[in-house]
Amino acid sequence: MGDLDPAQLESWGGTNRETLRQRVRVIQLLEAAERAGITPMPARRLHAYAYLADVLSPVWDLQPFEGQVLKVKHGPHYPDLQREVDRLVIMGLVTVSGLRYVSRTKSGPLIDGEYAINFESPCLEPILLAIGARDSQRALDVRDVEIHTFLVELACAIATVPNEQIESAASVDATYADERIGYSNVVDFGNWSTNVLQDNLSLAVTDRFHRFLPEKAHLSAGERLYLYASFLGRRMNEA
Amino acid sequence: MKRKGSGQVPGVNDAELVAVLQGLASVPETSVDSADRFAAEVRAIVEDRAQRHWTGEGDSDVAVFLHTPYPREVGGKIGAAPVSNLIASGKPILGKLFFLNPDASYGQVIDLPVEADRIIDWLIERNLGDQPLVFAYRDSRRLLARGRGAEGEITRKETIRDYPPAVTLQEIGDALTHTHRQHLITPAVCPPNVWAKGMPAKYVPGSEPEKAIQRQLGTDLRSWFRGAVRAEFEPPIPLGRIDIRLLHLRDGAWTFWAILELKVLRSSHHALKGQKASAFSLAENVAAIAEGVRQVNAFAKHCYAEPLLEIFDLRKDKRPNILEEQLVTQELAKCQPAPSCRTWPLFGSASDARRAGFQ
Repeated sequence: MGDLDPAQLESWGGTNRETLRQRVRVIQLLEAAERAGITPMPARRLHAYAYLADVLSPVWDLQPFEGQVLKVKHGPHYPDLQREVDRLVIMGLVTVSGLRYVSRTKSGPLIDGEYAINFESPCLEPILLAIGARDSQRALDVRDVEIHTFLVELACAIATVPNEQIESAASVDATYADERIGYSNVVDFGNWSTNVLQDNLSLAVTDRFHRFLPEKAHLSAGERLYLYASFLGRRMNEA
Repeated sequence: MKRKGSGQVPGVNDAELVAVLQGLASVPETSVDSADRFAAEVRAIVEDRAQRHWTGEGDSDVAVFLHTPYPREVGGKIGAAPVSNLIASGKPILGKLFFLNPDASYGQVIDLPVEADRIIDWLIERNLGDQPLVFAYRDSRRLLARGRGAEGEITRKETIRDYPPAVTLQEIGDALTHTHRQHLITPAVCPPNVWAKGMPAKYVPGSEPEKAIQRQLGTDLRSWFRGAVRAEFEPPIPLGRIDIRLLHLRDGAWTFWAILELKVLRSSHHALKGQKASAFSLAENVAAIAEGVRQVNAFAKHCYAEPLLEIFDLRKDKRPNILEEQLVTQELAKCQPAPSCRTWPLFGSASDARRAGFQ
């Protein structure tokens, strides 16, 4: 397979640009999770990981993909993202295994499965080249290379949390668990925020670590991600 | 979007953050080469087993760890099983071949498919010969890394320690001695840019030998002291830029521990292959070391840390002893306390190293 040009990528993503963005997002997330070895991922784990990628993207000086999320009891859920995950399964780029019903008290049963990249797909490699998962020369947008680096580091950091706990990690996240925001309300940490450290408490935590180091000691963005993952792990074990 | 100061975070107890920071020295080094990062994490796993006296391990002597971009893809082709959190799980590692992520924390595992001395061929036959590889041997306590994969040469040799590193100045000396012997002493083991390409035998240094040595030392110190000490590279302070700063935990709080200022002695200036390198005078070398003494003294005072001046001698003729030169002794006399100064000889050829008594 050769490289994918922008027109081909558009056709793969459909006519809607938002659809394309969401599909690229799914592939980026799952590809980084593959590198960290934490696939296949149940839907809830994938959504938790997508949320953490958004809320922690300012640590890497990146804009979040979604700057807000609806706060619900069983953790973050992105309907648009799930819709494209399902479509990518049909397109053969993502595999699903272990399909099952999950009962929920109020919202009715949910079909869940475990998602992963389909390495057998002949379309996968040109897409990975195009979205910056290989190198900057062949990426259609060089910013995707930085996003890829961030997502891999984040996935590796999250991998320090026991696999079965990852889906609960978002629920103890400082921003999502902020008691000032009740369930069924929108958690806005990037869309309309005027003071990101006030609204993105997860970012504030990663900044706050400096307070307990000698003055001028430096923490890299990668170290802040790992420390934050450790913070989530600690909270889950205490919950 | 504005970012205002980092005060107490609502809903987050500072004690949680202090507790998390206790593990800072175990955070993987994300800024170094992926092969070095992987080797350091594998070392932590293997030394964990050694420190637990290999409890639960069978008769096998060797474990093999391969960093692969997609562990599940590789594992799926050879019937491997998932494996995770190798340190926490305490599961046996000997007699196994692991396919792991960059932190050696998640991936896939199989029993060694062939004898250990045939593993390299086995990996190459399966197109896995270009990925970072580490062998751990229990009986000889050796850890051998091939950073460029099974097809490449051994890039790191470590001793598997059955005790955690001590946080002492003596231990820093041991770590530096190890790096000097394993990664600096001759051009064959030196990182790129310490010597000018094709001209080490003429003792022509690379364009930025201090930077190359700094990267190697920093990586090695992080690996050596993983879990106990944190190494920072080039942290800026008002007085300049420190080469390497070490932090350790004292009474549960991170404090600056030691400042390493690195200096190089040269016979000649840098030159490209085929060009004539101009001589580097004794006066220039003396001035560089005197400046190093001033720097490490100022930096250490600023950080309340131990001053360590590490001098890497790339001169063809290692005489005179630079620390006995008048300008240097004058600067040392001004320091209170005087910094620890060590000189590490680097040789432009293996025969020169042997002639100097290194084996």
